[in-house]
Amino acid sequence: MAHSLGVRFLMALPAGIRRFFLFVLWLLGSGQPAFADPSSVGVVKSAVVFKVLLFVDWPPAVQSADVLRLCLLQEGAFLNQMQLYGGRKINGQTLNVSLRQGSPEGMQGCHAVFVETGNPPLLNRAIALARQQPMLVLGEGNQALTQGAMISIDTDGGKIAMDIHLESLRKSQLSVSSKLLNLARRVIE
Amino acid sequence: MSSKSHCACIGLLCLSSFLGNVSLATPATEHSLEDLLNLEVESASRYAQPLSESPSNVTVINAEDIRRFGFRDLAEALQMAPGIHITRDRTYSYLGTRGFSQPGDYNSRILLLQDGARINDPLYDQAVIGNEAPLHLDWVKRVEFVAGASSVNYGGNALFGIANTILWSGADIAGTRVNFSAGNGRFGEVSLLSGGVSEGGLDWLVGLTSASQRGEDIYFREFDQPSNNNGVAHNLDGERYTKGLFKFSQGAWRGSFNFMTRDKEVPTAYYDTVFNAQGNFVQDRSAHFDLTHNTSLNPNWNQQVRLHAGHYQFNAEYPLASLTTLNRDESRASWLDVEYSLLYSGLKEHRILLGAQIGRGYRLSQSNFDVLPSYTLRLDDRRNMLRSGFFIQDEWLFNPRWLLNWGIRMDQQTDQETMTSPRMALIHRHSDALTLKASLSRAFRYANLYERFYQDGGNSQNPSPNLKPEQIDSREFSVDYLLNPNLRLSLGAYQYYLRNLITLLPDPADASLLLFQNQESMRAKGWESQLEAMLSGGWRLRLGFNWQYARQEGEPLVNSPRHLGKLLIDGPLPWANWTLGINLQGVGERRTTQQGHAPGFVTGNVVLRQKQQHGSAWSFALYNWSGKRYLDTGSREHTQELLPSNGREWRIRWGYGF
Repeated sequence: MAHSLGVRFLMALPAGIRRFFLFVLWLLGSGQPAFADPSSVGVVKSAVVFKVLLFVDWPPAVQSADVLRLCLLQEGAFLNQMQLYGGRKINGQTLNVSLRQGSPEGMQGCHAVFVETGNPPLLNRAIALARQQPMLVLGEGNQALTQGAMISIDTDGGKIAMDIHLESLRKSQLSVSSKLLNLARRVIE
Repeated sequence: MSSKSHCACIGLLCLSSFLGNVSLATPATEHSLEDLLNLEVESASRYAQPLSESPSNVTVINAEDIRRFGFRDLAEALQMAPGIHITRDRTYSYLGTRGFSQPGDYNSRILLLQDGARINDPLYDQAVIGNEAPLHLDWVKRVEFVAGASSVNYGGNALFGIANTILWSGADIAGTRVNFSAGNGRFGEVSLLSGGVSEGGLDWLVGLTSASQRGEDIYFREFDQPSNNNGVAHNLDGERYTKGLFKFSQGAWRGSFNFMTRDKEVPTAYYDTVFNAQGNFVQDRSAHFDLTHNTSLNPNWNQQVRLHAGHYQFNAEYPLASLTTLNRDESRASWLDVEYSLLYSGLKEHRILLGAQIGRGYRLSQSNFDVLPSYTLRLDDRRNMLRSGFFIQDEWLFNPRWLLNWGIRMDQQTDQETMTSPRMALIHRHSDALTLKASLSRAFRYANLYERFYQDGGNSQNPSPNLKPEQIDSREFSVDYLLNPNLRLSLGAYQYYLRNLITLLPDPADASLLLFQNQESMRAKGWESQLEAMLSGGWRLRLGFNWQYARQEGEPLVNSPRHLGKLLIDGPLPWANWTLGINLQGVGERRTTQQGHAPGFVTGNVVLRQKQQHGSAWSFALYNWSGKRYLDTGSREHTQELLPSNGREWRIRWGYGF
């Protein structure tokens, strides 16, 4: 039934559009199927964020604390995944991962904030706050860096790419290691 | 309702067991950062730019907003956005945007997306935003509303904006949530949502909702005669709906299936039906299947193929002429859209998106017939339709602080002229605190099959097959300024010019019947302002004020308020785990279809909500707390110039998550 419906649908199309449709079906089977294990991009993304934190230098006042606080501003899969890293050590500090409200008050005490896509106003607010206290602002997506994020994680191209904005980092008294710079897709001075 | 929901609940729990325990993948810490960055990864929306990052002004309404303000449907949630006001006629809900709201237009000038897929049906082009929407707000992670003309990416219907609903994934939910609600008018609802990731990597989400409401008696002064029960429509505002969702993703594949059935009684005696008569109702049924597949051709070329199949069904009955005649509408639409898009990111500072879309609407049928006193066929219109579109868009970051976004799209449809929709937007990030946007855009919509071919054999409406497409030219400028981390101010100004506006008016050849007609062009201008303040103690305030002036031939447009005001306050209460949300909406005076005026009003909702504690959460909501029945504008098919809203309403909701 479904088969005959599909054939009838195809045959009813004008020849040009039918060729286009068949071309699209051919494309469906072409290309490299994306890597499916270790499953979702969220798993790799959370591992990248954890590793990135290892290469960031905070001012001594932050580094001398027992806990390094990573704050997320949105509930959901990435928070669940990132919380699996809670309790692990980052250069001697214990990583604490928590959900916070996206307000300056909510972000008080955070040493790093990850702003997921779909929240440009939150990114702006986090950046403004980072001018007043040492706080790493991690953004997501192609436009995060131009919207002020210090480090952006982008999943375009089937790989996770990392972009770094050095001036933005400096304004929050932060620096990153040269190894991180070497691994970045794009570095803005 | 209760027995069906009970069975569904058991079925859902069985399905959860079948799919396995909710699990999260283990951290991939054994890899070095370099290895991780070289891993080929899948992402269901790898290059789908969130609309919230589009060059237009976008309002994001997230799940926490939905819960804190107790929004009951998509219409209430969208009312958070600047320039939006809602009109309800007790059959459907209508979205007014930037001074434009034609009563009875089924929101055909708004494009509704679900996870990026077009939901508007090809018969009425309806963007369904009330309880007739094929989704429930419990399933929604966030809603993005893009204001303004936006046909460049999605084709027709995006004249005044796009509402995109992003649904949760299974990994987002990672468990099961059950909600029970009760409210005035004998409202009851049960809702289940369950999701997770199976050990095989399948991300799955299942949602089911069922509700019913008896409704309340409503007084219409136009029918205040003893023969009409003194103007009281008794027990005629009832509604029932059931909705279901299954969503999955694995590897590069993502898919969803959802369905909705809604039955609504109509108490307004529209289309000259008998007042206070049983059997005046509408039925909406819809189902959507969506499948997308992402692949990389190489690191610079990524493609996405989307297949979307939809079905919509509408039935309505109209008791006429002292109940001796019963007339019935039946409409059916099935359609299939295939979309291909290709992203090229190999050119420095450019992201180029190419796309093509073809769609076929088949068995698009409208029929109208008398059931009583004997079967008489008045309309039997059946058609197929083919539509296609091609687009290109480039996002060019020509300076770290300047971004140019331009694009053009061409669309074709059976029996219609080719339409071109260009857009150019310039975004300047002046500083961390100040962003400026300017844009010029054009959008369109073809007259839909209902507007062109519906007629009911001389009862109420004549067909109008030669309607021309509507086209809008829009220009906008906006400023977003973060005065300090606690205070954000947004200002925007716009102008638009709409050609060939399609309106339902008395037929010049027979004024007793209605006819869709292209009218003279209309124009509008306005400005929008919004202030968002983060207060101490976790409280947040959002204050919006809009001025808008839409006119046609020098006259203000029908149902177009000159002023809109919004005030939303939410925050935690001193005692643990409770939040309070207050939502005030002010709408200015509007002109009616009968040359009168609907007075302005302010309505307020207050919601007291408990955050989840040991899995359990309560919420108490009071809607329109003053109890004053404000008046919405009726449309041409109504005898009433003004339709009274509900008075004070309440809802209690209890949820449990595990």
